[in-house]
Amino acid sequence: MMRLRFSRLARRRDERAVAEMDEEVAFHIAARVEQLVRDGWTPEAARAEAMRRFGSFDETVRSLREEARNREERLSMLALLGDISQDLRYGARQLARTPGIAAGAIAILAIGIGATTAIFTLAKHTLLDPLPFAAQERLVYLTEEFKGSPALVSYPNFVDWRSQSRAFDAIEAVTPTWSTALLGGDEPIVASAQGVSRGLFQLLGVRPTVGRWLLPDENVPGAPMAVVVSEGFWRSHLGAITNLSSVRLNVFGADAPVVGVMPAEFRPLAAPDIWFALESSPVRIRAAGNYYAIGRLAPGVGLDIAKHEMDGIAARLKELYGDDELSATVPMKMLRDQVIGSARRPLYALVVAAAFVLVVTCVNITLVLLGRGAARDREMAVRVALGATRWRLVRQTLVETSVLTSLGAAGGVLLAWAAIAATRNYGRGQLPRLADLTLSPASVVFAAAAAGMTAIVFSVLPAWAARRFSANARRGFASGGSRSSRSWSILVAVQAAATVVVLAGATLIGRSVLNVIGAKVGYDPSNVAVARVSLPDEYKTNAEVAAVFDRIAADVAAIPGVTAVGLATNLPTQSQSRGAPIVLPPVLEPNSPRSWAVSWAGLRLVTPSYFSALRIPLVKGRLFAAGDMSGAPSVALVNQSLASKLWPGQDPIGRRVRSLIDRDADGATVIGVVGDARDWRKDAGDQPELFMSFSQRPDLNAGMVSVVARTSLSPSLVANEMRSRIRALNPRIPITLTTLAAEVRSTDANRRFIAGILVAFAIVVIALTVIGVFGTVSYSVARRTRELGVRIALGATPGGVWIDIERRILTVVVVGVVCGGAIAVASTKALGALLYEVGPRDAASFGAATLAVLLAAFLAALSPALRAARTDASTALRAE
Amino acid sequence: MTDRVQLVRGTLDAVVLRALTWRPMHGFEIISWLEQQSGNALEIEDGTLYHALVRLEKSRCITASWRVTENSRRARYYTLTTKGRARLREDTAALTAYTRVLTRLLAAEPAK
Repeated sequence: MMRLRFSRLARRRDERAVAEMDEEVAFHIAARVEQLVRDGWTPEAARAEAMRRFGSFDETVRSLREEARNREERLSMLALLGDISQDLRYGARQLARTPGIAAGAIAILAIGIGATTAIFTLAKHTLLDPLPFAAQERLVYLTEEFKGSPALVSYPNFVDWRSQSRAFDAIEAVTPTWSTALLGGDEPIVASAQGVSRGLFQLLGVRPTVGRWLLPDENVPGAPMAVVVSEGFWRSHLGAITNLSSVRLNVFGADAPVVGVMPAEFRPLAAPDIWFALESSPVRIRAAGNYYAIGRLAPGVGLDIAKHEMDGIAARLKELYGDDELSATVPMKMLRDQVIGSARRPLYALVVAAAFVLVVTCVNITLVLLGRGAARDREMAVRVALGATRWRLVRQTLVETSVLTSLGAAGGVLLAWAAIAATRNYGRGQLPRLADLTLSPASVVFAAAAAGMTAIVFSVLPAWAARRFSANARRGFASGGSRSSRSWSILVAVQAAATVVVLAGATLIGRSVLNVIGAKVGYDPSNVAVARVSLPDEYKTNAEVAAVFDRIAADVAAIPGVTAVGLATNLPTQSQSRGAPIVLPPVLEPNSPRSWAVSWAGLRLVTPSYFSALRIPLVKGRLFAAGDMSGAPSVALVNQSLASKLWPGQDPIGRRVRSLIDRDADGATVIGVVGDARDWRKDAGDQPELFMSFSQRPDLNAGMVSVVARTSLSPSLVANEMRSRIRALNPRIPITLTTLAAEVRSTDANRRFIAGILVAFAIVVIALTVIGVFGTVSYSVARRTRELGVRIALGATPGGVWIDIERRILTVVVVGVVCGGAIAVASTKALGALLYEVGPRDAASFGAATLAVLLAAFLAALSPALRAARTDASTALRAE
Repeated sequence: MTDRVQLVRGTLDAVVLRALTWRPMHGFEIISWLEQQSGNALEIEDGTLYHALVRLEKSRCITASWRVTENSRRARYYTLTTKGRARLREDTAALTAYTRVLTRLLAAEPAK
């Protein structure tokens, strides 16, 4: 359309250039002939002479026409550039004349564009960008279903799935990450390890950066240990050495060669430091789900067909092994959905909030520019009267808004860049695949598109308003009619609506965060230093292990300021809590069906002072004592949740209980009940837990031990001292330091992260609303000075004028707030799992959001309304 | 060969600009002025002048407008612009210096 118009214009310009050149040449020839005739030539001879003197006539004329065309093209281009640079200078002068408005507009745009760009970058990165795996559109995540919810698959079931399925051309398994002591790098550390089944590498199709993947014959029962390391670990601990032939690590107590390095983006459901072959020593217990399964659909097979086949296999297995609680179904979803997982909803919530922020930004900037435009309509009218075309005025507006928008967009990109850098640093671990998040070119293009679109919106609206300028000019600068005030009202209402939605969401999330932070966790995380240690394999017997842990506890207790030292196999803050089905003795085989379990409970091995270090109260009975040692009868503690689950209304002391992890068929005798301590999923409520004595059952110790020390000094200082004491004991013991408070904070980080962004959004939108309402009311009061003067002259009181102005703006805002409330009610359900002890339609939150918007509008209108009430009738009437 | 053409062209541009310092003229007036001032010693094809005019207008040294002549005919008149005046000053200085050097060189006695 535009092109067509431009090409038509260009053709007309060319035709005119040629015609003019022809006329000029004709004039020249005529003048020359006239001169020659005066000198005595005959007309015919004179004409021939004139043509001869012109040069080879036809050719010269042809080239002159061509040159004339070029000249006109260039001149019109220069003229346009000249006009635009004039527009730019004029626009800059106009903007400089009202620097407050210009700066405000640029800031509004920068914030709006920055926020949306950052959020959309994040969303695109985590939701849309593909996983770095081959044939990922065919990769499916498979689980068992136990007691109605998805559960990890056990090795025997996985093997049966793998051999029986035809719908999948491959099914492979990986473990969750396990902690392991890792020796052989720069210093002994605690690393995370992931086991992988035989064909995982072929399934995912990612090439190692260095070396090779584990070979199939390294992944069979009894094969010697070999490991592949992640690129991050390879760089930080192996010095990025490319010749791996001499690199060996001590993993799970075994000496293993490092055979390969996998690229950073290779993260099969976890991001461990090392990979090992899980099929060299799998957990062959059908009732023990330990693995994630990933299947690749055979070409042309849909998810429904695969589901049907797998359900059939599950039903056969259930019949064969008679596991009542295991459903005859295999829940499955696309791997991509599983990876994005629980981050999906919060991300959508943020995207929606960002969209609303963008709406508010656009409305606001439009209000600002419309206000400016309207304040300048007299200037525009004068320019129309002086002969400026509408196109010229539209172009002028376009140039001005382009200047604003470019500056705003530049600021927005800067803001987005800063926000993304901050997200990468502080949001690590809260959202999937954050480490490689960068401001992508696509998001810059997005910012440019957002800026461009807003520029068009802003330019079209004032231009649309400008259509009426000439009419207004004829009517002697009459002020805008009801039509323009209606569009103002709609804009203000839209802004109020969007603001309510963002505020309601932010309030709900904010309250959830406060609830979670304030939630009673059952233990006191402040002033507790934590050292995670794992013993190297030089400690072989249980007695040696027990002795060294005794030494560690004693050494740490000797640190000044330490008041209590406890040891535990895992802490409430650790997501890798070891849990197992609980059965009530008599004797059960390890291969017993899960249906015999009466409960599921986390299992912790702890020392008695663990409870005092964490300030977990003893409710009943006694704690472990010195006599509960290896060889004495097994004793156990239960927390209140497990007690009420196993023996509701009865005394648990003296009962026998057994975790399936424990090979002792007789189980242990319950000697006491302790208070509930929330695990890392604070919002999941209190979980049943079983405690056994650390010193009595070193056989159940899976390797990693947390040493917790309550202190009256700074816990991080004490943590450092803990490291030096343990290093002094044995420098080969791997250690990781932290504090309990930091771990608690990191478990809340996801929610805090989302809440932080939403609260920032809320501040932005409420500020924008105040600016918008203030601008609108000020402008309307300024335009109505004369009318107000008349009304005051006719007896209206200042109070009446003030109330009238507030009433008008608040009516509009209320309409917007009601619409916004309706949208919010419909959309806050999406926040779902992010909410904690707050309903998605929590009346108090909605009321607060509504009130905040109304109050903001009222306050924003206050100063201009009071100014209007003080209008002096005679001045107002004289003014125009 | 090329050098000489450019030299001539540059020279012609300067001369045309010089002609227009008196008053706005149309193409034929400029030619007539050149013929008179040079005593018809300068032999230029008329078409060449129009090429020069297009060139000068394109570089915005002159502007054109249609006006009516004394004989009531429409002609395209050319006016010198500020840029054209500046260009004329530069060209005059350069050409004068060039001619002086050239004259001195060509008049020099052969060395013994």
